[in-house]
Amino acid sequence: MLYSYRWIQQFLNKIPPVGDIANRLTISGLEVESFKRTYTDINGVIAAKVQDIKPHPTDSKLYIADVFTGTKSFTTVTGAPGVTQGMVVAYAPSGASIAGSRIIKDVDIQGQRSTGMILSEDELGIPGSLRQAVVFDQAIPCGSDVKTLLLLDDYSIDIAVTPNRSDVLSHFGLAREIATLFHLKVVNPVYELKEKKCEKHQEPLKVKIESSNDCRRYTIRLLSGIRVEASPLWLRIALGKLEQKTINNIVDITNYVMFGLGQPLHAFDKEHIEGSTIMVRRSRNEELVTLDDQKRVLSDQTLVIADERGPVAMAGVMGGKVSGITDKTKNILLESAVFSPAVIRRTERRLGILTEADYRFERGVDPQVTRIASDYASYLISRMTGASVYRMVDNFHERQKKRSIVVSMDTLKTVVGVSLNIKKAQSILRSTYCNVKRTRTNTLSVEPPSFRLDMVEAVDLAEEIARLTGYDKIPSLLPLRQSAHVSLPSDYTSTMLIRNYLVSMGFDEVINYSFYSENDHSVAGGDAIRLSNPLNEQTMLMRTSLIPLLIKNAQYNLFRQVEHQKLFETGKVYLAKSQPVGKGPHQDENTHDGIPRRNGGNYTEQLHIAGLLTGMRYPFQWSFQHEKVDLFDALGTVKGIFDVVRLYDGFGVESGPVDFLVLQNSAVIKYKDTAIGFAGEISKSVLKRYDIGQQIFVFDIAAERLMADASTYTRYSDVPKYPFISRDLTMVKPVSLNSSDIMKGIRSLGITLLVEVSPFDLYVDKKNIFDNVVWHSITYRFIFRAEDRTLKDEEVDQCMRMIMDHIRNNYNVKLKI
Amino acid sequence: MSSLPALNELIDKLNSLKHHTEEELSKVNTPESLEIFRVKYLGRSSGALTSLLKQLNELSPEDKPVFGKAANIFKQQLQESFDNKSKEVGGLSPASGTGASEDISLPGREIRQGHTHPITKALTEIISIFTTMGFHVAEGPDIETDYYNFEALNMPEHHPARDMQDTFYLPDGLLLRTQTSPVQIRTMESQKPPVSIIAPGRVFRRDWDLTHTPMFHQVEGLLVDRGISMTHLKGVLETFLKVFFGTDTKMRFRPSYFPFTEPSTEVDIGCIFCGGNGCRVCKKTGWLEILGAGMVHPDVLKRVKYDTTIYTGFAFGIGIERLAMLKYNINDIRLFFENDLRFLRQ
Repeated sequence: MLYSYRWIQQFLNKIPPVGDIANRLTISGLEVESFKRTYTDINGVIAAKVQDIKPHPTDSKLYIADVFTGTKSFTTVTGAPGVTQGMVVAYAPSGASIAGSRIIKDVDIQGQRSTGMILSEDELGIPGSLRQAVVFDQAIPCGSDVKTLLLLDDYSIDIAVTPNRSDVLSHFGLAREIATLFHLKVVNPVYELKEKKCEKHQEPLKVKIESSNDCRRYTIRLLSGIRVEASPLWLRIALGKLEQKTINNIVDITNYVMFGLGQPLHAFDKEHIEGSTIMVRRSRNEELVTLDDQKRVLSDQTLVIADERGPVAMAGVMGGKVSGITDKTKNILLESAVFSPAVIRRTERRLGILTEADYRFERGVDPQVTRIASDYASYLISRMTGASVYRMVDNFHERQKKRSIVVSMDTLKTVVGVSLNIKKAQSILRSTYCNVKRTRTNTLSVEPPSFRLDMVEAVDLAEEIARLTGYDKIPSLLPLRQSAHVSLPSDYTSTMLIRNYLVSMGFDEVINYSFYSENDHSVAGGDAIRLSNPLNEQTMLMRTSLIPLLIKNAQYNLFRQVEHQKLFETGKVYLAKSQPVGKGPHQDENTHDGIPRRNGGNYTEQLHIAGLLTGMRYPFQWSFQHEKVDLFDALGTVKGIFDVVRLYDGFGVESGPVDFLVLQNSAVIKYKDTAIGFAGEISKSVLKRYDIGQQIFVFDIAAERLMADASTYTRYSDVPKYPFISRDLTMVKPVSLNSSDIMKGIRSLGITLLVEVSPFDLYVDKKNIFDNVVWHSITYRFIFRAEDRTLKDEEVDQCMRMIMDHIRNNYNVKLKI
Repeated sequence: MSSLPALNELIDKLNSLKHHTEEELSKVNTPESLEIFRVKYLGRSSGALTSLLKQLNELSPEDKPVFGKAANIFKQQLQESFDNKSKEVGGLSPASGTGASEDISLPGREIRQGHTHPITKALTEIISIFTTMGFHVAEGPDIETDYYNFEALNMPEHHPARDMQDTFYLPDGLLLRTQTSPVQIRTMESQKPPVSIIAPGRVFRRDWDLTHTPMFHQVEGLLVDRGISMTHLKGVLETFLKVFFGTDTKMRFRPSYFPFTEPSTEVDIGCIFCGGNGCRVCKKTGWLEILGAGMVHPDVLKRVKYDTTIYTGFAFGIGIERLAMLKYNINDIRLFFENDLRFLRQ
């Protein structure tokens, strides 16, 4: 909320410097975001008396005036209407600056020398200003600073008021807080009110409140014989400093009193209120055209003010158009009330209306200020317009018991951590307007003031005492922890190891949003969770895959001349139902570290690890071969991930279609025969959609199964005592025959002496395409070793014969011997 | 025939040369004397071996290969002996007389390392500081219920504090968590006190402009035990900030308001850009707001059936992006999620 320093000053016996106030408020819990001087463009403008005024000889719209500034007289040409001899006006001498920091200079106007300028309101930059001269009381001494006279030399203080402190959402409320912090006295608003009894022709109004839960207090009073017109200068200046628009004198006064005392007020045009009874009730699915010309459909959740015909206002939120104040309004009904925060908030949320009034009602309004605010506003309106003020109708459901909180010094010590002298506690609470009684040696009975709706229980008082003592007075201690062992989420260490591995392999880590667009989702597929209130097209759906945004990252960087990229992300995907993503691998629904993934909705969150590779395998460098990344870079990276978490044997691949990959250049990745991911080349159609012209490879694995089996533990065994013997074997096989199947077959022979088989040379014989099949000439190295002896060649020969027989008998393969 | 040198004569010369070289090389013990040796015997234009080989052409065709072979064997032996000596005395390079055979200034074969995302860096450091202080690491789902995200944290439906956290809603009454605080409730529901956890993770708010991204990261902290008070809250957070930002970090605890803590505090550190003198980053206040914290509200503890006459606790929430921005001198929060490699590869 914005506050005016001068306005606060009205409610204090004296006021500390603005900087001191800002610091003290901030460290006491009301964060001052900024304070700024107001009207910094106005300088040197003074009050001056018009000694003589006569028409300009050649221009009928202009006058020539002699003004006296207290020490000197000047002659100035003015166009400001209504200036007469003897008036005290705002005068900008030559060299002074006016609105927009315009500097006043001596000029010749139609042959007449003009020194300085008589100012109209708009030349002072006053909001809602009229093109008329600023005129002061005759008693104002000439030469007085106009900025001071009009309270333009002010500070506007911006404070972030936390939702619990509705008591400071007014200048009076803030003055009360400052008085506590600086040990000052609060000065109440000064007014005197002469109420009239209602006469016969003015029907005495009755108020009926349907439920006191919705409305604790409702007051209304008649003001007759008002005159609706533009607000006086002081009022427009006061509201302008809070960046409030001026409407008319009646509405502006209700706002002025709200910003002054914290009580929202509403004025109805009496002529448009039917009957003698005002009802405060829930709407019965009615309609109301509100002040902003909107037709509102009201539900039974909306509290309304109704006359005999129906609703005339949405209580506490906005008035109706028909009963609003117009130029013709002569008699008004002034409402001052306290509505239930919950009810007001519901209406405000449902209709999306945020007004200064509902902002205060939903935070809570002090029921003790209701009458004072109405009286004060009535006094001001009466003084301004000469209106008659009639007796108020007040319907107040006062609570039977006063709130009283019992707090012991022990409780305070438990919360704050330091012992507190009971007398000190007593005096602090009294300074903050509590009624405090000492009930036992170390117990206080505290009755908070009506405006402190946030003081409910003992901890609230602990906070109040700690806050006013200063948090800096509380010592710092480190708690002693009983447990030396610290537990981490089951996948924490593994994820970190994998991340470090990928980084060491040249991958840069990215973090993408958990949501994406329809277009991104059309790549990933799957049952996505749709956001009910997306912010823009990038937040339409929860991502079902990490891949689309990785492609976007690649695109972003390709467009910025980064051609060679290796990216990865570890993050969650979100599935509306537990089923495969796209037509890709199956993912299990699982619970994860005991936290239920399902919670009222049908969805899962799963940790995935995904990467993207494009461009050259290695950086351009004089000694590297400049080769592009391919499928086997992606596959090798995934195998490396398995190795990092010590799942050396679980890795497997099989061919199978994945929606957005090139079929011939992709693979499904398996862990122990369960498909958990894929690797491969992004299809051309997808690349085209992202305007990417170079090959991109990706991998993506669901991490949960891996993490469940992951290990960081190594159990060491003895190193081999005897040397190994190796044999190489070359075969020619069709590409379609998976070499992993051959290896699996060889392993199934159960040759215990065979410790390792690995392909180490591959030749694609392009000339030798027969049967329309591409053939691979591939060489395997077989390593044999015995635990207990040095192997003999004959033993190894025998093993190799078994292996060769197996291959000849089982596969469409030619052995090269 | 007699004008031609006899084969035997040349073989003798070769043997004599062999004898001399062996004798002389054995005396070589410095790179300089080795170089003198090289020029004398192996020199390409005037070395002894070269001049001997020049005489090869003078032999008869049938004698040429005989001597050639002998000379080559000798040359190889000599070169080998020389190389061995060279290793011994650290001689100048055998291949040239002027210096290195490699341009050692060429870059070596380096596989470029990737880079950890700055958010991960900050998170890892934060987690390590708190685990050292005895905090366990807990996690919770990103998709939450209204109960865990708001209600259990003293923010019933009509509560104005909900305004501070504009929420993304999902079907079936679900939402994207706006804070990591729901993990507090989930943890306390599933275990008895004492509890000491931190909960890092993604959070979501419906806000996207120069200084807000719709997703960011928080670390929630919770410590509930017997006798926990604000002194401990201050102790733990001061320790954390001093380790993270440096021991001479200035800080202040300001009263604030969160529905689920009472008393509540916001913690500021002295502006690390201007040293507290006031600059654009700290909006001329000299202070930077860094985290929110407070004593867990008794209503929150009661809701998870903790005995509030025995147990008290504190909770805190740290915005990771903000910390990372301050620590790593990053001036735009949007950089974290643009994933521009020119930014990440730093």
